[in-house]
Amino acid sequence: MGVMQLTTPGSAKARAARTAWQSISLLLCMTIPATAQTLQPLQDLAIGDVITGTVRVVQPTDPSAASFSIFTLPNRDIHVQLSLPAGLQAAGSILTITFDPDSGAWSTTETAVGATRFDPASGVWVRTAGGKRTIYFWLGARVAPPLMQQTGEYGGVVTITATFP
Amino acid sequence: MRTTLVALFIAAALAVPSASRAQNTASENLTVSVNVIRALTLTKVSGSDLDFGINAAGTTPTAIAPGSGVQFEADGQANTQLLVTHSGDVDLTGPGDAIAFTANIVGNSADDAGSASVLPDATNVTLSAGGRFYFWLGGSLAALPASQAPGTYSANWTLTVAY
Repeated sequence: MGVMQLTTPGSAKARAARTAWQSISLLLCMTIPATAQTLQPLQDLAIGDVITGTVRVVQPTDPSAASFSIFTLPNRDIHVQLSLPAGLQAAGSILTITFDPDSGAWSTTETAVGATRFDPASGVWVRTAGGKRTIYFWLGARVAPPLMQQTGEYGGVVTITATFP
Repeated sequence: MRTTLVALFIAAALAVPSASRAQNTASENLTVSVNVIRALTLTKVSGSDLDFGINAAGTTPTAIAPGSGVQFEADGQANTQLLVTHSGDVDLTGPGDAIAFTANIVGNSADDAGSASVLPDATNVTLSAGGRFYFWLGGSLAALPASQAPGTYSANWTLTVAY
């Protein structure tokens, strides 16, 4: 809180007489939101080239895994839900994509190795702890285009929803 | 008056945190992408195995030109690079001393042995717009000494292509 004083011009005597009741006190305040948090996509899931008739599994620890982070207050519960595509689309064709029960991982450090795995289809509750305010997430996937799969670039979207109760 | 003003400001400031404690959500999207490419196949399309026929000891077997030898065809993703590896020179084994085989392997993205290029082991080539690459294998055998034991001599020779 700060105090600002306002004085009007006039004779010294008049000023002295008026100063006592012409002072105005102002309260200067700043409010820090109690729920300062951000959800930040860090990397898309780029599976790369996959040959028809083969299986490609991207682990959450792989460099090509998707990643995102959530920044929030310490000791805060967060629920993360992922809306996963069942198929990736190219012109006139769909490629099935699946997510294994351990395709998701999260950690309070920026390293996927050793991170806690979770089923991305089920979502996960996490909690900031130990003074950490950022939680990192990784997402892998599995594709297995059959021999007759149309070749080309396929794409899809994963929607992340973080809830701060 | 001053007391009243200050009291109002304090009341307003305290009200903010309690209002912001309501549950809230954040949402973002990530994209997923994959490039599906054709499986790679390699087929022996013409010629049988490389057969130098019957040769007498003390002679030099006639060399086989690649275009008259064995043809292979790779089929895969158009305009994609392949790594070609092969056995190179090998020895034919049989009842007597081994006979050295010198491979002559050439390749071309067009089905034309005449304009094909020699392919050393571990060479990168590019599939044609139609997704094809052609190989031809010929070669020569070392001169057979007069003491070469008669019999059948053979060796396996392997060509491998990979994305």
